[in-house]
Amino acid sequence: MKGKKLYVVLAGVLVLLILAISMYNYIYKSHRDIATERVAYTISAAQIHMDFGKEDKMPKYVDQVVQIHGKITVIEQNAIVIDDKVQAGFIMDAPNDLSIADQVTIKGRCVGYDDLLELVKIDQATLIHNN
Amino acid sequence: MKSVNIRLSLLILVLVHGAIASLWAQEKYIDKNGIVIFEASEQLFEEVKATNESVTAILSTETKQIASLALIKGFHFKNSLMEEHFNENYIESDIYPKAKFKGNLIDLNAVELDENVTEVPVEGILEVRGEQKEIHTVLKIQKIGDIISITGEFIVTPGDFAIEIPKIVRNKIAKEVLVKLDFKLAKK
Repeated sequence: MKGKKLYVVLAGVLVLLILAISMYNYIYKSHRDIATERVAYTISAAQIHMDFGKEDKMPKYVDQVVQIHGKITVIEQNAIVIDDKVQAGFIMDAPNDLSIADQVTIKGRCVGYDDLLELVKIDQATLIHNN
Repeated sequence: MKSVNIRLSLLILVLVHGAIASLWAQEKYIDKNGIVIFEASEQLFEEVKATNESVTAILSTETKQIASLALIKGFHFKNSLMEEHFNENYIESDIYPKAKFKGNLIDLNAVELDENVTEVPVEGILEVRGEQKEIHTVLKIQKIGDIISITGEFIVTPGDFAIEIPKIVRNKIAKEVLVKLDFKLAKK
């Protein structure tokens, strides 16, 4: 009889523990790791910029991992602009072996469309290819 | 004949000068990677703070107007669940993807800007969730080389933008939200 009671208590503690751990994981779940996430759309800088002009296509890219290729037109400390159409912000500073007019491919999260500068904004970008 | 020539060249000089002056006057300063931080933390509770490091700001020194745009999805929280709730429940960033500010720097004298910090009042309209809120604050402006640096802060409330904070978290989120901005605008 005593042994049975012990089992019940143990089971209760176990259930509580599992609950606590899953609660913790839910509240403090880790951020997305864009660099390792699967690419949802592979597209040229010009094409994604054009698609953002069409209202109906716009939302499909937002918050998705996109892979974008084109020519570098601006280099800043932690960002580059591709074909004057897409601004990509790197997780850290921009790789320092980049130069204007390089053909590049980057992967990052599409944040949305900036209609002040008419640029598609990408953040958490990583460089995939440079030549 | 000679005096006509002189007059003509004077006229041309004046015209050219005028054209150059108006070109100068149209100068714009742009920052594509401006920083906006907002914080609504309550003591003893988890930090409620988000940073956006790719805010756009455009300043026209001629019209003394400033325009800024922040994509809501560009705000990052330390806690990813908080970020999710902010986007989905509070701001509804799928429907309202942008925060916009348009304002006037009434007393801005671009020619007099230098390394010393000048305080310039700004008044304008901040639009979040389709709701507009008038903002009055003082910006600290300095010019180093060709870069104009603007920093400042102001306070808004969730109610300004018709954001309802659920009862269950009401005491964990401050009634007043402090918004800080830091722009480094380069001449375009």
